[in-house]
Amino acid sequence: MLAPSSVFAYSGYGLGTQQNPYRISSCAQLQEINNNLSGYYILVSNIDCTDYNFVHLAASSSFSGTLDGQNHTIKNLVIDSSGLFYLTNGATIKNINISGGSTSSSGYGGSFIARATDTIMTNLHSSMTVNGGVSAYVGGIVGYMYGTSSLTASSFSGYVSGSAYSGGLVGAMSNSNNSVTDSFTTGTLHPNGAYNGLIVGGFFAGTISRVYTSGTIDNGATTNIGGIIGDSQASLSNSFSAANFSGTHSGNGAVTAYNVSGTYTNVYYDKYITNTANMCNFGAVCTGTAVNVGNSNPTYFMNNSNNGPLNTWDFNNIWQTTSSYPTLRNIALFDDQAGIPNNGDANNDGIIDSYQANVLSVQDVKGVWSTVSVPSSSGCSLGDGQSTSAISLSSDKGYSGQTNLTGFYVYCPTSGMTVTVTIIYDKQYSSPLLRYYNPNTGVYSMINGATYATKTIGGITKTTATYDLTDGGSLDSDGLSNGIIKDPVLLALAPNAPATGFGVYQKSPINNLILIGSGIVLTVFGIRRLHKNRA
Amino acid sequence: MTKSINRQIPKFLIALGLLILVSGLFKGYSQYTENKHIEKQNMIRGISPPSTKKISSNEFSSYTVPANNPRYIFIPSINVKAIVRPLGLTNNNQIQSPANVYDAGWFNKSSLPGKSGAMLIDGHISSWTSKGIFYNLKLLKNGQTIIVEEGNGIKINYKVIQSKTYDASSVDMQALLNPVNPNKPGLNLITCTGNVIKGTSEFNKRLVISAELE
Repeated sequence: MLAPSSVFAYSGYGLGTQQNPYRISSCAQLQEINNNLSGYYILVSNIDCTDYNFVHLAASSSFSGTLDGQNHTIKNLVIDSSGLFYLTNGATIKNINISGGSTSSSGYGGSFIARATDTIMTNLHSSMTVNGGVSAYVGGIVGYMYGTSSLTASSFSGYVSGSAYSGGLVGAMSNSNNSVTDSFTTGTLHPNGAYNGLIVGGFFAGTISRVYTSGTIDNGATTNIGGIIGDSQASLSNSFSAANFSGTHSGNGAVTAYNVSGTYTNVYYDKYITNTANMCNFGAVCTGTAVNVGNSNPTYFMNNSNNGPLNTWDFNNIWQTTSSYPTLRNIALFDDQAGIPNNGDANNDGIIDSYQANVLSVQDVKGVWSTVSVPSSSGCSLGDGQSTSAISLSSDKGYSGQTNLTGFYVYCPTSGMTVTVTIIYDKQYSSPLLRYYNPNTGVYSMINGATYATKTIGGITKTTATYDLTDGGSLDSDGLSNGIIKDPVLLALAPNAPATGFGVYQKSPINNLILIGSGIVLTVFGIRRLHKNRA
Repeated sequence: MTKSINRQIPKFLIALGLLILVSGLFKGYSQYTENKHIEKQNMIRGISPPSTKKISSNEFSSYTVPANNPRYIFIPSINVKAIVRPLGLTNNNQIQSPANVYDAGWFNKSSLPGKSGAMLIDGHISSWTSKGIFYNLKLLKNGQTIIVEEGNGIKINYKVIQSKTYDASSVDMQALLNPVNPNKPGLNLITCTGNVIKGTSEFNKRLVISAELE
């Protein structure tokens, strides 16, 4: 019987530490975050919360831990109010996509957090419906930011409604240390009051940089809505607005509704799409660059990284161009089937891998997929360790590598467990030989007892390798019996057998000598007999 | 009648003798030309025959390796007593074989003596002119002892548990580099067996003797 290693009555596994986090694989386990608001949590699979009545977390005490979605999606999450968390303070929320679902708010609301203090928010995406109604401070991602909170590399494509100071990403920002960076919205903002914006409603302090919107402001409140900002009192830079005001256009700003004291550096807007009279509707005069005037250049921001302000964005690591507006590279990581073999079901068990905690597909540094799985009955789950082991093979002298490293973590319910691991490589390799790489020593070693086979999945013949891994054993690179096994491996090319013979020892020469000798003896004997007979 | 037969015997002996002589010479010549051909082919392929120089007792006793590497192999039941040389891979991804027919070779990517996994030691069965160190490996039986001495003088005993013959082209290399008994450190010995492939100096089969730590 496997016993969870928890310090409170958590139904999943883990200790709630960064080294051994609580592993979440169901909506019910997500709800259990409420039982320990300072723990370290990770999602080990996608979660479908259909028919689960989720109650927002941290309603009266702040969440100060970490929730790392590990690029997993929470689907159809219906929250009673506010958002996933109501209060966070000193927390980190990252690498999560909320797909669909809804929440409502009577003041302060967002898909992820209603009120965030000193909170780091990274790689968060949502297509949720966030109904703020007539409440203020509602955002697609977060309602209100305080302290040193930051939002980075995130997006909103859902529907958000609120009264004053509501926004597509953030309701309001209050501190000079607040920031929103490298983010965008394509969703819909339904303003029920003034000073709403498709990025931020109340921009009271902080900085916003490298953001854009191509979302829609629908026919809600009629005036004082901004394409990017509702009320601006801080610094916006290197950004653009292609907001579509579907309702009344008069009395709105292409970038900002009410420019109290905002500053603008390298800010652009699509004059034709925003179809507003001014960049800022009222308040202080603001200046930026209007493009596509009179629909003269409708693709100015599309499939382009050279036009301003796009020429200040990082298109190598953060952004990527598309045939339309830019997108964030990290969004592709949430696609259940993005490149994963067999349409997302790489091990061909009939279930999309990203919904299984015990199945993990990773790409090596050359982009070749391998799919790791452990028996679901083991209670172990898998995590991506590729980023820490994506190295070349140069140090494995003596063997030719056929693949690059597949790095993964196995999180097991008890310390010291042995679990059988199967890796399906996305193609067939001849003479495979599984090798373990110890990142601490840089030494490769043989994985004894590994067995190899081929399997045809989706019409493609693939090599599989199966072997046993023990927590704290020789193939666990953390060397600790701690419930976590870190195991980078690769397939090498098995060597050929040695040539350990060089002709048959002396057999032929002896035979020849015997033959020749016998012939001579017989001939001589015959000649002597012949002479004797004649004599 | 008998006299006539007696008169014919010497002629018959002479004819038979000449026939045998000619056939011996022909066979010798054929072999000579074939060997020349093989030699030429080997030269093209960069294969040189192993040395057949006997290892002197001085050379044997003065041979050293790092403390935990295999230094000597002893197989009392077939009278094997040999230096173990560390070997790697050829450019063709083939495990090297010893440069001398009287030496054994340890594949230096396989395990160390007594350590988990399997150590792999190869040795020649023969050359054209000499028996190799593993000429009698085929005589080994389960339960017989193989001793590997480390560079530090520690002797590690293995017990034979399995003997397998493979076609040269289909040796199970994963098995060869793993212990038969996964719970014990293993030792696998490999040499040639079968017949020489026509037109080459190579054998068509491989013999693998597997042993486990006693």
